[in-house]
Amino acid sequence: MRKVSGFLAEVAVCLAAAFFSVSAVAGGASGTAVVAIHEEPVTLNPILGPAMSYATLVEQPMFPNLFRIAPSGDLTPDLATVVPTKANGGISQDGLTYVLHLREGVTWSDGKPFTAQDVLETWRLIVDPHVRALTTEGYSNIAQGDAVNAHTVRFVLKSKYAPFLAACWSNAQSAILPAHVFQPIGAAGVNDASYNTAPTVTLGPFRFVSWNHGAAITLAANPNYYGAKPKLSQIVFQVMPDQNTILSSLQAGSVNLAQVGPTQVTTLQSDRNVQLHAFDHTSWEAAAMNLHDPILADVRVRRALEYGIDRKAIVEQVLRGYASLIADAVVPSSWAYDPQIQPYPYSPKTASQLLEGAGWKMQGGVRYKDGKPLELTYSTTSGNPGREETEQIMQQELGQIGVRLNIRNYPATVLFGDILYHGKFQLAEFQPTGGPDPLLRIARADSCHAFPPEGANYGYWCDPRIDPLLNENAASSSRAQRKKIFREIAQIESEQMPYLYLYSLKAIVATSQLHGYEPNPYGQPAWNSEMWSVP
Amino acid sequence: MLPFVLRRLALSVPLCLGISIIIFCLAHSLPGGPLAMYMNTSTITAGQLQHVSAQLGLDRPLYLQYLDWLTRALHGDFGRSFSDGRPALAVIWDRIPATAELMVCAFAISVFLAIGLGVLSALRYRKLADRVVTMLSYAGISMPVFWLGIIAILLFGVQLRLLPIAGIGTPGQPFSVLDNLRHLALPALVLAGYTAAQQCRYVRSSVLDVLGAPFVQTARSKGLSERVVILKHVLRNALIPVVTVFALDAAHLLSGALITETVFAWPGMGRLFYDSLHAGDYPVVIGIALMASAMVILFNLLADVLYVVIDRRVQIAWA
Repeated sequence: MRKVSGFLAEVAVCLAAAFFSVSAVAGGASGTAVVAIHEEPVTLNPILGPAMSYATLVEQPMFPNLFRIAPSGDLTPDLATVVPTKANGGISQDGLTYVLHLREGVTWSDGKPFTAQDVLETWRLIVDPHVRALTTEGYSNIAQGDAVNAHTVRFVLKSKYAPFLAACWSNAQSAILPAHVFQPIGAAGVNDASYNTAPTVTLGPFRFVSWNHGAAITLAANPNYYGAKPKLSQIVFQVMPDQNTILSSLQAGSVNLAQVGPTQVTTLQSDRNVQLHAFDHTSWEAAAMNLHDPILADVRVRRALEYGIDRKAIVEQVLRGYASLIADAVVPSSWAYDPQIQPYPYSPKTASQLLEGAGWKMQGGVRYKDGKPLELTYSTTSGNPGREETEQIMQQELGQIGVRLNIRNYPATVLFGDILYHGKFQLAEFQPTGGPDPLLRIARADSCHAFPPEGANYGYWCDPRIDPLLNENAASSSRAQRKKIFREIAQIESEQMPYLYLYSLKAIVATSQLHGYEPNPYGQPAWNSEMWSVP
Repeated sequence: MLPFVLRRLALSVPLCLGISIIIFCLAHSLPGGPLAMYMNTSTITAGQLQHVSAQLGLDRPLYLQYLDWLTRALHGDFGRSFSDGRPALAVIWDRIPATAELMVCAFAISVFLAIGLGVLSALRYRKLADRVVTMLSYAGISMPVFWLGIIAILLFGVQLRLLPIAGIGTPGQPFSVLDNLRHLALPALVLAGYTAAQQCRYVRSSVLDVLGAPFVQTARSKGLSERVVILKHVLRNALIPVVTVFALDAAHLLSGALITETVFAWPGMGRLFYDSLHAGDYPVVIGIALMASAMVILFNLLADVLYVVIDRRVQIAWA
């Protein structure tokens, strides 16, 4: 009897040891990097909407484009052999014709060759009305595209468009699809193609292995990859909806990379195994002001609001310093940024003077005009502690200059799908995502032709000076010239305040036992995944 | 017995139909809706949006959308997910094994703990063991699941590094039962802890009730051993009211699973429901809601049937 129980005890100890084995807790399988994603992508087809940054994060290691945007913002050749310029003859003197030379000897992960037809088919699908394209911006400006030979493509544009290469053919925006897979499907079948959830034919350093919905997307090194041989054998994107679980997993070493927010940094800073990378990004935080609203139609009120908020204090207190103040829509990470245009300082005095000038007189702590109080409603996405804290500070500070600020927040889908889209707001804060070229976002946010539903000029701001400048910018091929035009646009924005410009949030990427990661404001964290390795 | 079960099942058909109308209307009256995520794409134009709306069939009157949905649902087609275009049933089906695994394990652990500790507590009434169990169960009832989950993660995952804290298996490794069980341990215990704490109270008071009953005194005075008295007389009678509570709790585990699945990144149905609701993915939302309703109906029926099985005195009234 005693022998038997002794044996059973031994078995129990062995089982427990296996169950609680410490080594298996850290990281994934050998040669595997685990990236935590907060939300699950809807599709892995890079040309399809809706826009979700987590989808791009997963797609980038599988889907290269003709050019890759380096951390400096410059284009570098990827599937193309050279960046076309007027000097090298790649761009015609009139700026309308682009000749793109493609790499030879590149094969898709199924062994079929990569050719000019793949580039042309990608363009045709994106502009086809049947396809729920992520964006047609830039592609719809192509008048004609043809293959000069198997590895040379020529595009003729309808009008000059400076961001053409960055907007259409860089890794920041979209990617090339295999023509031999999509031609049999046809444009009408693209939205529901099985390829969208299992993209088995790709070109990048990693290829698709599996997608366990709700759990993880697994990629493996692509032996056919044309570039540097990937150092990892697998990348697993693990879906972790809870931010605390992501932090704990980084600390436990079971996640190698995750994007985190400024308030979570404190938890990770003390951990020696976790490295934090904070850098300026292309997106910015602003509140659209609805110019259809009689109070906000007055530029003096809009400027007073910007003067009346201590944004520097908000950045320090709420965002722990992980943001840069902005004066307009050109963010500090951009080549077009001009430090000469300064953000408004915090000046309740100037704000009060502006409001007085606009006829809003103080009566018992609140300003009135024609018997009506200066009362505004401020909205943003609900459930975002940083934004809610910011709102409370604003409410208090604006209260001091006699502006009564009411807060009414909505879930993200409601804010974007209804409130902003249909102009049912006075002030609405959100984060317009940046693009690879500043023109993309500014044209969408500022042009008189970009009122919803056609664009994202949610506040209906229309300054007659803006559109000619945007056109001139698009037609200019010199960066110096374009920078000058951006400065003029920025000056008008700063003077007219169509948005309450807040700050440009820094991106914070946390890595744990991962080598080779490099911050890139223009790419998702996995933009250089072939260089990654784990110990 | 069989006619009773069949009658109850037949009654559940109009019930499900009514539920489906309510859920369909509720889902469609939510602000935002399935187009919201497309409108969020700042580059989309009005024409594209109309096209998407027509493709998803959202431009028709609501009653037509419902009738259309119902006809297809009766043929086993719940429509396609607005999010990723896969059939809604396939999307749900994908997540059932994970939720079922979590719920069955959590339920088993919870029943085991509740009966064991509840009986112990009642037998040691007002002694140390009773007080400890009572304290633990009150702590369990008052602690939110997500908080218990975070504490478990910090203790077992980060500090002691004994157990994995997220997912259903080690990323990048082929499936193995041991690995899967290791991942199951924390979420199942946390989910079980929450329900066990409540059930334990029911068991305790039910056992206490029966212990004072005259037939227990009779059994004892007949000279039966304490073991027989407890197992054959007390427990059997004490469990009758408890069974109903347990069966209903099994259905409610689904809502607890939502939070547990989120905290432990467990790829189950609860999380799918939450995500779909957020994305306005009606076909999936309606599918899951109907499935959950069906579960509640089934477990109610199960409770009634078990009642009869355990207690022969209960007769089913047919009229």
